[in-house]
Amino acid sequence: MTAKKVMVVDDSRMVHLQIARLLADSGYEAAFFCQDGESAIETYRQEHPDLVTMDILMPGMDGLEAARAILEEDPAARIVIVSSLAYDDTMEEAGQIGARGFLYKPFDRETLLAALDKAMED
Amino acid sequence: MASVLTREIFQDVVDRAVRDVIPQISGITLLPGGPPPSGEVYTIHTQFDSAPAVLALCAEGSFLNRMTRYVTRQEQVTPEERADAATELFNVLCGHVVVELYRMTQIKIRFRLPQFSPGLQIPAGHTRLFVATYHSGSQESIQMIQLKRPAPEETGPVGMAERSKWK
Repeated sequence: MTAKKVMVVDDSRMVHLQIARLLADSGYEAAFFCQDGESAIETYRQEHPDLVTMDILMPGMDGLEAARAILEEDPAARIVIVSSLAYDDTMEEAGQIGARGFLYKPFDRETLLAALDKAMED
Repeated sequence: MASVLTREIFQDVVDRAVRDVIPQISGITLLPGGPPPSGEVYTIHTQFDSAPAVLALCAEGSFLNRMTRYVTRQEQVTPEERADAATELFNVLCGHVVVELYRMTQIKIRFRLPQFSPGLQIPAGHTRLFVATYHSGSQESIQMIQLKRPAPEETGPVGMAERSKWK
């Protein structure tokens, strides 16, 4: 079975490494990495990953703006917001713009895979 | 529910976040107390947008190196990886702090992107509101420091340029 390609958007390379490690042998592959919202939009256009994990607090365009822009272009995009900033209204906003889930940092492999599996449903 | 954000509430929330978040990310359990960080130290700090406050984490290089090795699963780590790991750790810590403060007080606080710098960086003119020291079982210390920014009329605009005033 081909692994689902995940685009990891986070300004921290540590998070890229962490997610890549947690996804090893899981049916998902951390295939693309972006450190800001602008490059996430561009990479999504070019690569059309199966899933996106999106941090919120990043330099320049934040993750919610980038998610909104991606979903405007591709309403079927599967985006999971990944952040430590879990205000109720932030999570609500993530849902309203069409994100498929919210993952609270820090997280372990089980929680990450559960969030990605849920985002892939339907 | 508290309606006012006091120093005691802030310190309590920071303390719980340190003990909850840092072990999860770094694999290092911290206990309160111990000597302050010394030798090779680094500071990560952020400013809160809706409160005249700065929160800083001062940590020994040995702690940050061990934490970064744990995060990367690498034996050797670069200074860039250490700075990145420390900044992400602090970022997550601050996220937990402001969300918990919101749950307790309904006061919503945003924080700026954390800044990493070598040395014990205390901004000039700031007042220390609290300092909490923690240590690991391996002779590593960190400190959480909350500072109150001086009023703008005392120092001019507060923003990124403020870093030049850190000593």
